[in-house]
Amino acid sequence: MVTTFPPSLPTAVSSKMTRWERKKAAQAALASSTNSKTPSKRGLKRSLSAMSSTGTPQSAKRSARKRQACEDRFIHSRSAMDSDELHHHLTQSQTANTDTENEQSQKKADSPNTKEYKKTLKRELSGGTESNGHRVLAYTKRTTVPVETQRMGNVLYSQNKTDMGKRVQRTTTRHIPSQPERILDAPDLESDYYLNLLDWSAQNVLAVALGPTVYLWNATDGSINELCSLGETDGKSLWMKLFGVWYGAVRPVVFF
Amino acid sequence: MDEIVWRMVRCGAPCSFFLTEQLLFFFFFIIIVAGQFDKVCSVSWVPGDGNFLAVGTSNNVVQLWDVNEGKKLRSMDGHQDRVSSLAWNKHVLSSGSRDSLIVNHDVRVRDHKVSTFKGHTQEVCGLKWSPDGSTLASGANDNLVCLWDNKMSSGGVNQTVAPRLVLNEHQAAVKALAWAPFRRNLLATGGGTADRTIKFWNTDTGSRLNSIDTGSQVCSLMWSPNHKDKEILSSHGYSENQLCLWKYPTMTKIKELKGHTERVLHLAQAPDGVTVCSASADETLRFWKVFSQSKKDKGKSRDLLNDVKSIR
Repeated sequence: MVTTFPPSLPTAVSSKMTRWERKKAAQAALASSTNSKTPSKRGLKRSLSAMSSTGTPQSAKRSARKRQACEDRFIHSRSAMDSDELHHHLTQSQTANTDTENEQSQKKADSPNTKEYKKTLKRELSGGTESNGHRVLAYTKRTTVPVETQRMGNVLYSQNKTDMGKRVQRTTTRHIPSQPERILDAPDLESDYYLNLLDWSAQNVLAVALGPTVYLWNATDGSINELCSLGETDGKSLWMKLFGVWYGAVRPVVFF
Repeated sequence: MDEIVWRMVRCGAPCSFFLTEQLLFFFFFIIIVAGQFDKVCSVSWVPGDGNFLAVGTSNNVVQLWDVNEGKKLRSMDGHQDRVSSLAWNKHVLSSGSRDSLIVNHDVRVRDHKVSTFKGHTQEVCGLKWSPDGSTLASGANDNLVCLWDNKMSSGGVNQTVAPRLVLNEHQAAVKALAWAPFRRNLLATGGGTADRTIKFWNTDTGSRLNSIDTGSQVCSLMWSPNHKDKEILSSHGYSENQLCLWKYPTMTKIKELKGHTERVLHLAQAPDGVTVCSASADETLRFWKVFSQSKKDKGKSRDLLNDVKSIR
């Protein structure tokens, strides 16, 4: 285990060392320290990982090259930031803290339409860049989406076939007759919002319930059939009801 | 009839006062009896087949009819009030009633009651299964839209199930419900007179995607069967009594169809995918050619039309 430890390693961490080198050194130091007294599992694992990384020098090199791209010094790039916008966000957060409760409740009560309006207004004012999360410092140059593609209607030319603007045009040019093709009479159709009295089957038959009866209108040949009538099928109970109501109404008069 | 009148006359013959009173009673009696007639409150075809029709009645029963034979196959109870909405999911028929319950019936089995959905407090007037059969959406007079999982209902015998999600942003009864054919989890709902909005929901999370004020009662909603169009048709009440065709994500109005003189209560879609039938309280049915033809169906529906023309 200890053989993996590079003997030429300086004890003091120099500033010229890259991050991965420092990390490896720290790992190895830890492994050696634990191994010398009680070889715990954790230490073993760490030293093993250190071994494997030294075993393949090519991969280590590659990772070093990768790391160089983003160093641990955070220097923001001025060209990627908009100082005016920054100032706005900083001052806005201050004022938001001192907001009165009334204003905050008003903000919550905003309808989705006004929210959408504010959002679009903001986007227009900020020149087409939608700032999400309000990041203050920028470290890399952000790729900005051209304004033209954000507004779908204003595309000058596009090679994409399934283009939004084109599709809208196609549907609006389709002719929809504003007069009904046919009108049928439906006497005794209940004017009740809660009912569901109409259904069209896959066999092209339309079922309509008119009062106690269900009618079937065959759309292919225009024939009408009566499927069922609840008054007829429940004849016995209807006569019982009739008798009951009649008896109830007549009894006080008869025995008066 | 003559006998009844004769008996009445005989009974109150000595005094004209009795006669008039009896006549009055007779009229009351007729009015009461007329109110006792059972009415059909909902109809729904078995999807795909077209031979069987489910009929919900005002005497709390759901009947299943064979259309070709013209006879009643079975009558299923389970409700305490009129059955005002029906929805099929394969062999399971869900029925919503004024007793605020939704009962699932397995029509193949003798003990037809599979499960009961309990979550509403008033009449259930809108009921739709999602196209994949996983979720049932229900709208009721208590202004709620409830979403129910199919998995929860299929487990045991006659169990009571609570809703998976409750959407409570409507301000009036919700009758209009429509599942989008082009996206699995998109539901459109329309509210009644006090609400007047069409709202769109993500049914996985229960979040509202969009809401537009239509200006009048929304009685019915229907998506275009042509997936590419993404159009939705709505039928309205007072004051225009019109049908509106909207483009989905933008909700721009493509077309208004006027002609009905009272509120347009129901919409039904023809199997050709183009024609829509609207039923209104002015006691007419009107047939509109609203949706565009998808390329698949073009040949088929042309044949259908030719048939009609040759017969007429």
